[in-house]
Formats: sequence, C-alpha cells, structure tokens
Amino acid sequence: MPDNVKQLLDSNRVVVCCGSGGVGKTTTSAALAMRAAMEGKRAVVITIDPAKRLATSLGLKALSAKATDLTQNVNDVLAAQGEKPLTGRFFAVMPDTAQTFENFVRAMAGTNENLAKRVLRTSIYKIFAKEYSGTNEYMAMEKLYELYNEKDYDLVVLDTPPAANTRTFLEAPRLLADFFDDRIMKWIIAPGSKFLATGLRKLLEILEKLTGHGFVSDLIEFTTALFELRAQFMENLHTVGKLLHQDDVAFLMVTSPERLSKTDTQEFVGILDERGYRFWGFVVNRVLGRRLGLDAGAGVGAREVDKLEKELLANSGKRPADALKILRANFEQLVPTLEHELEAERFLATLSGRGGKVLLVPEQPTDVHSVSSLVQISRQLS
Amino acid sequence: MTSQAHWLSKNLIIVSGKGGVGKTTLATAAARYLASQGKRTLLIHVLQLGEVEQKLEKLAPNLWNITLRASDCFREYIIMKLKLKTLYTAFLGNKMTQYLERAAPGVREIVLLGKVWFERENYDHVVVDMPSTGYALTMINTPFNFAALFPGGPIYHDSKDMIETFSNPRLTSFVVVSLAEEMPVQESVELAENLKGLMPANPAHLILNRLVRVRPEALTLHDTEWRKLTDPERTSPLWRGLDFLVHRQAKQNQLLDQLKDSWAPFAKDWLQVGEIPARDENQRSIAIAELIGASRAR
Repeated sequence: MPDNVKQLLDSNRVVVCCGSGGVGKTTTSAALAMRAAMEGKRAVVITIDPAKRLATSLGLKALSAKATDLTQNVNDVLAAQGEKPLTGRFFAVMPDTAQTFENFVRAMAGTNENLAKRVLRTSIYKIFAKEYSGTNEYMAMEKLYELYNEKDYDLVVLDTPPAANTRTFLEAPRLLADFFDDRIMKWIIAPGSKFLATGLRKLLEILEKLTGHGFVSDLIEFTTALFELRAQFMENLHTVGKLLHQDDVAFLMVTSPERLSKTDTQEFVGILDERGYRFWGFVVNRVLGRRLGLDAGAGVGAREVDKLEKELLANSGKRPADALKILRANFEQLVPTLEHELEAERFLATLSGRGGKVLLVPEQPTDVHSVSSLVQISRQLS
Repeated sequence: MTSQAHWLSKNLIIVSGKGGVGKTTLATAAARYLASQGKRTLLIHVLQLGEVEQKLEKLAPNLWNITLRASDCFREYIIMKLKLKTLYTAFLGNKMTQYLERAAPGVREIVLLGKVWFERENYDHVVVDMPSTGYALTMINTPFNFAALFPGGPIYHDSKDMIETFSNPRLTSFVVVSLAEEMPVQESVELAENLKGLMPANPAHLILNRLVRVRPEALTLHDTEWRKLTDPERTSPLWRGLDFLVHRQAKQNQLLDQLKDSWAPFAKDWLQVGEIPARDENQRSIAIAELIGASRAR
C-alpha cells in the first residue's frame, strides 16, 4: 500500500480532524502530529477538549494555551523502548475553554476592555451557556490561524471540539454568524422598519411577560454591547474561512466502525464538497479485525473460521476437540462486530471513490492514555 | 433492590452520558419496556443542535415518540402562559421565535426542559434521551439560573417547580449511561457529581453498557501448552480473539472495582448491560429492554 499518511503529512500544512463524540478524534490528531515529528517535522496539535484527554494521555495535568514542546516526553518513551529519538519536534496547545464565551468576547473586544466588561457584567451573561454553540469551534479556528501564521511549524493538526455530529465544526461559523446577524441585533437595538419594530416590540413584550422584569432590559444591554463586537468577528471569520479553503489544508473524518453513521458521513462529505473544502479521507479507529490480524476485507463467515482453524491445527497434530470448540465459540462472539466492520469499510470505500483515503487503526490493547500508547498508534497509522 | 426504588419506576426518567455510549438505545429500550408493561410512555429526544420537525408519533401500543424543536416548544409555551390565540401567534412566525430563542440566552434550554416537564403529567412515564454530558448539564442548570437571577414572571415560577420535580427522588431519576472504559467512566462520575451539586437529594443512577463476558472454560484455555503448540508466533486470529476478550475483561473488572468507590455517593442500583450481538438498533433495543425487565424483576 502506498504510504497514505506520508502523503497527508508531506503535502499539507494543516490537517483538520472532524468527527462525532467517542471516536478517538483527540488520539488520532495527536498521533498524526507525533507521526509527523517522527518524520522530521515540527508539528503541533491543537486540542479543544474540556475533558483534557490529551493532557492525561501525555501524563500531564493540563496543557497550556501556548504551544508546549513535548518532544522530550516522547523521546523518553522512545529511549525506554530502545528506539531512536524524534527527528522533528512535537508540540501541543490547548486553548482555555473553561470560559470560552468570555474568552471569545475578550478576544473580539481586543484593547477595548470596557466593552468586554459591559457584555460580561449583565446577569444574562451568567445564563449564557459557557459552551454557546459555535464558540469552541470559533476559538479553535482562531488558534489554528494564529499558529499557521507564526510559520514556526511544518504542520498544524486541529482536533476539532467534541460534538454530536461530524458536521458541527463546519456549521459553527454559520451559527455564530447567525447569532451576530445584523438584522436580529439591529432590531433589538434600534429597529429600522416600522413593521418590524412593531413585531419586535410585541415579541419583547411577550418575553418580558414570561421572564419578569429585568430580563429584557438586560438582553438589550447585552445585545447592544455584543453588537459592537460584530464587525471584528465578521472580519476574523472571513480571514479564517479563507485559510480553511487553501489547498494545503486537508479535512479528514475520524470515525470508528461502532460509531459510524451513514447519514452523518454523507452529510459531512457533502458539505465539504459544497463549500469547497478539501476532503482527504477517513481514519477508522478501533478496528477489531486489524487487532486480530485479519486481512483487510477478509470475510468472517463459517468458511473463513474453518480456514483459520485449519491453519491453527497445521501446527499441531493433536486435536483436543472440546478446546477447539471453546475457542471457536469465543471467536464467534466477535463475529457480529467483525461483520459490522466489513460493512463499514465497504460503505466508506463507496464514499471515497473520488480519491479519498481510508486509514484503519487497530483496536488497542488498552485505553489510550499514555505516551507509549500514542507512539504505538502513530506507528500503526498506514 | 426493591422495584419501588428502581430508576424505571419514576415519572420522569432523564438519560444522559458521554457521546457514543448508547444513550438513545438505552432510553428507547427503557421506554419500550415500560410501554410493554402497559404504562403510557413518551420517549422524548432532545438534540443539542439542529432543527427537525416536531411531530408526535405512535411507535407501539402505549408508546409515543417525539423529537423536540425549540421554536415549537417556545410557541406552545407562549400560547399556554399568555393565553394567546391564533390572531396573536401570527406575530410569532417561526423566524421570529427562532431569532428570539437564539438571541436570548437560556430561552432555548428553558423551553426544551419546560416541555419535558409539562409532558410528565400526560403520561405514566416520560423517558428523555438527552444530549451528551456537557450540554445536558447546561440545560439542567438553566432553571436554577432563571430562578436565581430573574424573579417575577412565569418562567421564574416554572423554573422553581421544575427544580422541585427534578430534586424529588420519587418523581425523577437521572440515569447516566457509560461504557466500562476509563474516559467515559470519568466523564460519568463528573456529570453525576455536578448533578448532585444541583440536586443533592436525588443522586444519579449508573448504567454500564456493553460489558464483556468471557466464558470460564475459555479463560482456562488462555495460557495452555496447546496454545504454545498451535500458535507459537501468537498470530492466529482465533487465539488473538480470545486474548482480546480476556484482556478487555481484566481491564473492565479493574475499572468496576474502582467504580465501587467513586460511584458510592450516587448509585442506589446499577444495571450492567452486557455485550449484545444484535445487528440492528431495533433488535438491540429489544434485547436490552428484556434485560431491563429482568433486572427489575430481580
């Protein structure tokens, strides 16, 4: 097989890893950056993960919002395994997501601290979900833009924020743009047209009746202050959007046979296509067949199991019948999972018809939360 | 475990957990089981993002299903509380309510949760398939915020009533679904701790999904002379399959052991739903429903 991973890492400066929850997106992102570092690159992984999974994996309490050089941590593990050190360097960054919206407002307000204060002191801000849809994604894009432009790295890998759907990352800018939608905000602050003004006044009256005093006046104050941030936001969004469309930026979808949703996948590939982003392919994690050493695409029906049994017995003349039966019964517990995997692989193959790649990563013997297991996965990417 | 204390016996059953652990499957199975016992049951899906048409459908005898849309819930709430009739609702076109629901923080969460809460009176059981941990917690936090920050209106009063219902262990159960793997368990314990901070009197229940069970006779086979003979290089997929399950089970038992301590403040009972080799979700859901029934009868 041609080295797909090498091609991915050599011909791109940015790799964006999308995927739904629980598929190993963070692990994959880190493993890709680590692999690039094995091949002599300066690589950085950006992770936005409130659960601090990557930090735990790397044996750290937390990661900082500044790029941390973790080359030595990896080299220690490599040395312990009797392996050569990295020829490149491996960095990780975790933007502070504990108070994402606050950070978002502060970033937008820039030097205008007073403006940020006005937004943040309203009561309504306190009920504003910390993880307002889109802010995590937006902060991720900002960080990506910043690191890309520092030109200090050969490769930036983005682990997109945890999300229910793969397409969430792609939809986030639109959601935020909607939030900053001229019209809604202008209406709330100073409705232009008389007809709209009447409609909106009614709506705000209704809201006031439902929420009691205080809420609506607070909302207007909050919105007015936010509105002033709008221009900056739109400008940044435009710039970051341009970066994501460059031809050295590759999007890939991380998934696992277990979690693969056909609709979600089709939508994701469709949206990439429609918006002109470059789709690179799929990384399929936790593939049991790979772990068991089954060949890609090999069936797991009764006939194949017979064959496996024969191979096994070729080594030994003896044939303890019940032992063989137990072994076989045990394997059969895994057959539905293996069959499901084959179907998932076939499905992805149909979608990658336009040159998309499929990387299969074996199911790991342990949960991935150590440098050595990350090193292991980096090597297994092919 | 008496069946009275069982999480299934509550009027409102709220299911959450990390992404990918089987929340929807489990919520569906629970609802299916309750309906099969002759209870009028509503299964509610709450999405974190996205809009689908809100339509009540009947899935089976006694079983109804609905996916909530915030703008619909909002409109229903307005009409109910302000006694508005259709003339007025002309103002409340979908676009307008959608705008407001987006521009006014907390409104989306409170109307979705409010709808769940109102429906409880119309059914014996309402099973809620919530979004995953982070957003589920944000949603449950919302009535607490409204009750603390904006006194006066109907939302304030309803928020207080919602808090009362959620805090009452006779009326509501919070169910956290997890896999027996390190990360999901860690996230589940965090969620349970956060919920306990909000509703100290009503600790969450844990359900562990997809446990592995290796037959004892297979365990004894694991490291025998016969293995060395037949698989000297340890490459046979048949043997590797056994290695995999044995290893998985060992890790799992270790984790279950640790869980006894970390879950002690929360669980009054938990259900271990084993690995169920079913090919489609429907089959799986039926199999789990049977398991849930069996656990209840125990």
